[in-house]
Amino acid sequence: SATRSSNVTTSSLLQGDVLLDLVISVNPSSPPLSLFVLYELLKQQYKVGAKTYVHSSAVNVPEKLTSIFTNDGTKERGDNHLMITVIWKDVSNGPTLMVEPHRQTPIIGESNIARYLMRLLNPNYDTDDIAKVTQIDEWLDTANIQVLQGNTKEKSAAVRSLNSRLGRNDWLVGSRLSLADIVMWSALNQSNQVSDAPANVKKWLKLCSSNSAFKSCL
Amino acid sequence: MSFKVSINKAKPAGAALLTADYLKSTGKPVSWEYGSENLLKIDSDTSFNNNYSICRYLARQFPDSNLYGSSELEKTEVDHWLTFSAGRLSCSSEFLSAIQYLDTVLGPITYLVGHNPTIADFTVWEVLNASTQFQLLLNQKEACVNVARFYNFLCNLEEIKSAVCMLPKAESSAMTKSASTSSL
Repeated sequence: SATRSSNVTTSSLLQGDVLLDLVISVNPSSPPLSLFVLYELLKQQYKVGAKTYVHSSAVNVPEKLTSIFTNDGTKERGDNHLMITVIWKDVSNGPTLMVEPHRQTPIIGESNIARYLMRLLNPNYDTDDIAKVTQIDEWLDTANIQVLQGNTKEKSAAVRSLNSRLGRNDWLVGSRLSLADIVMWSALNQSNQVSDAPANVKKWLKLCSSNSAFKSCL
Repeated sequence: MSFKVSINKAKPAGAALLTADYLKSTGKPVSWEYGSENLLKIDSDTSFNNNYSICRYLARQFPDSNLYGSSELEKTEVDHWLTFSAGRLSCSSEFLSAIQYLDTVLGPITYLVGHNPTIADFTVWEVLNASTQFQLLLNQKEACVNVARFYNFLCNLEEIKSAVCMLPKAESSAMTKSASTSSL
């Protein structure tokens, strides 16, 4: 989970001297809020430098958004563990992540970029608790397919199953905040499902918002 | 610990079947059988019915098989292809652009991620196998050569051969007139 992973210090990122360079292209019409939350968590664990550019295809990018991914990092670029470059541009199939341009397929989709950042936060993410991480994946797929890309009917079906899960539990998977909560919270906000959410979802949204990592992007 | 995957014969979880069969034929304690539903039971509290969840769980359970890739980035590339399979590739209105993208990516490579089969190959293969639009393209020979090569290569992959025969293939010859003339 997100909270537990902050205790892990054995990341490959901290062992090697290799600076990891992440380039994320995002569309201002649908800001991927989960990536902002994960950026806050990364900063608690690593030295992260961040830069923001606005491509000419992107219009009206709110200054509040461009200011999030801007910091001076450490003085020398090489002193950072991680450099994140955010490019606001008119990408069509969802946000896109590049890490090793010559060796990888561009990673498309907010939930997939979130998975990658989570793996940086916790190198044992896929092996710590296999059943739990696979349940998290189910919520991430629901957030991506039903809440972000689905029609009205699919959206409300997703909110109903969310509400039913949250009737008996504080969090979506297990007993603490996980990636499932971060990405689902982001998807609900982006698709305007927050203001008229049912009672249990409202209670959970409040619980999320009380976490300091969520506050920077509200 | 050994794992038994139940497969619904009428609506088989295809990628889960290929994953189970691959692990079984490479000597892992995994087996599968036909049952009333697609199911992987872990313990009394936990089970998975979702096709991709069964793939993910089994691939994570046997990391030395590399079915989920071998690095943080490769794992995420696998997730990217699972999203692609369930999304654009399964959506008939986006199928042509999706298949062109896939054809470009597959140009220089054999497997979608890394240098061995992953669950990404299995989920993409499953959608292609069940797609009338793709089976029609396949019969035209010169269309999307790289995807055709990839699809046929997996059909003949030793480790999953027996499972491949079990999965119903979409029939392009039985295409209705409306389907065969749609945007192809």
